[in-house]
Amino acid sequence: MDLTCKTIREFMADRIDGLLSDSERDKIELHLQGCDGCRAYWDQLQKQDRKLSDWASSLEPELRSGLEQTLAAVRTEAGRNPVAFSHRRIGFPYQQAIAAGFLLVIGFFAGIFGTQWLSRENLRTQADTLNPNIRAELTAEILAQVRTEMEQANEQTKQQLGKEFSQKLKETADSFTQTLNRDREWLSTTLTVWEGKRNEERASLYRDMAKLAKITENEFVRTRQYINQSRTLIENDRSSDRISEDPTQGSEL
Amino acid sequence: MPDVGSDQKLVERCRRGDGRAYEELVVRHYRSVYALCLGIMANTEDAGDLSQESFLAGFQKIRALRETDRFGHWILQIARNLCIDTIRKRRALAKHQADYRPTRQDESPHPSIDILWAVETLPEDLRIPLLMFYFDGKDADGIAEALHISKSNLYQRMRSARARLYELLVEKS
Repeated sequence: MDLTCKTIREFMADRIDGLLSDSERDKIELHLQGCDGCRAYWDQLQKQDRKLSDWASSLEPELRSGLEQTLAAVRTEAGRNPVAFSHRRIGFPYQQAIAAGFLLVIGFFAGIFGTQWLSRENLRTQADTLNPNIRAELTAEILAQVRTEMEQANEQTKQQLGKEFSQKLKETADSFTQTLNRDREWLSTTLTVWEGKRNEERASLYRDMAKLAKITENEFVRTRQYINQSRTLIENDRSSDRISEDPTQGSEL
Repeated sequence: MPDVGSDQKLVERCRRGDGRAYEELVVRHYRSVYALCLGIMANTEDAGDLSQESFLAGFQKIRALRETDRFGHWILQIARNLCIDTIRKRRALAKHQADYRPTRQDESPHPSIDILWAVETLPEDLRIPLLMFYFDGKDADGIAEALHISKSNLYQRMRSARARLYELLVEKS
């Protein structure tokens, strides 16, 4: 095989891949008319292409089946480990769930920071209208979500900052979870009040919530500053063994 | 500003708890992931299993995805690493099991005339782009990006893959 044949055969592959212009295709045709070896090569290349296409087509049912199984597995996983609470699973309107979730988070931080504006006893006495099953389901959903987020944040941090600091964060997360569990009843009660109060009473509650939100925001700012300071200190001390941001486990073969 | 149906929008909806958004992402990218897994593992059973595993891992880690407009690239990276981990585990296992057989090539009754056998025999850097080309809609731009190579490099690999198949199927038969 001379250089011309070699070049022509590379062109043939490009022709299969749809890369050639009309004039380039004409050059190949002209060469094939006078070269039996390249004609045989071209026939074989086309045969390979058909076989590969046929193989891909024959696997279409398997692909569809695999897709369906994957979707089913994702749905099951979503049931066990929700990315966030979903209106489809909880069974009542999405916007209402979001609003209730917001209130629960604010209420949670109100409990954490010891604010006196909302009286637990007062709230509990008014807790009588919400369906207990819905309340319990929603509360459990949100608690699960917070725990999931803490675990994910911990996993990310472990990859980025190293084991020792990560262990401390894990202890913090565990403590956070314990606090959440203690406040479970109080959170449920807060949701009940959200459902039960009349509109004018809600307006007052909103004002209290705005104050609580401000306090919470300040706490978040301080926490963020603390984390950034810790991160800077640790990154300054670290050697070059930095892990990729991709949350995957493997590496090159 | 992402459009309503973009991957970025779907990832954001997913993070807000919309499970259907992730299902849509699975539908969009399943074929690419399957093609990559098939390219690396060289058998359909592993490709199906590892595709599913990849999307489950993606679901669990969706909040760790920083560039939300690059879900496709990200999920392929997860799939690739899962495949590599699987191969490593099997190699480690093979050291302790003398009768281990890694692929279906020993099951093929007439390997010398079998296109599937020939594809399995290709080196990975040629097999992966070839199979992605046939199983993922022949989208050269998408395949080149997924494999972190230029388009010209992709086409060079395709040329080499076709030439190697010819050698395997004709010259050595």
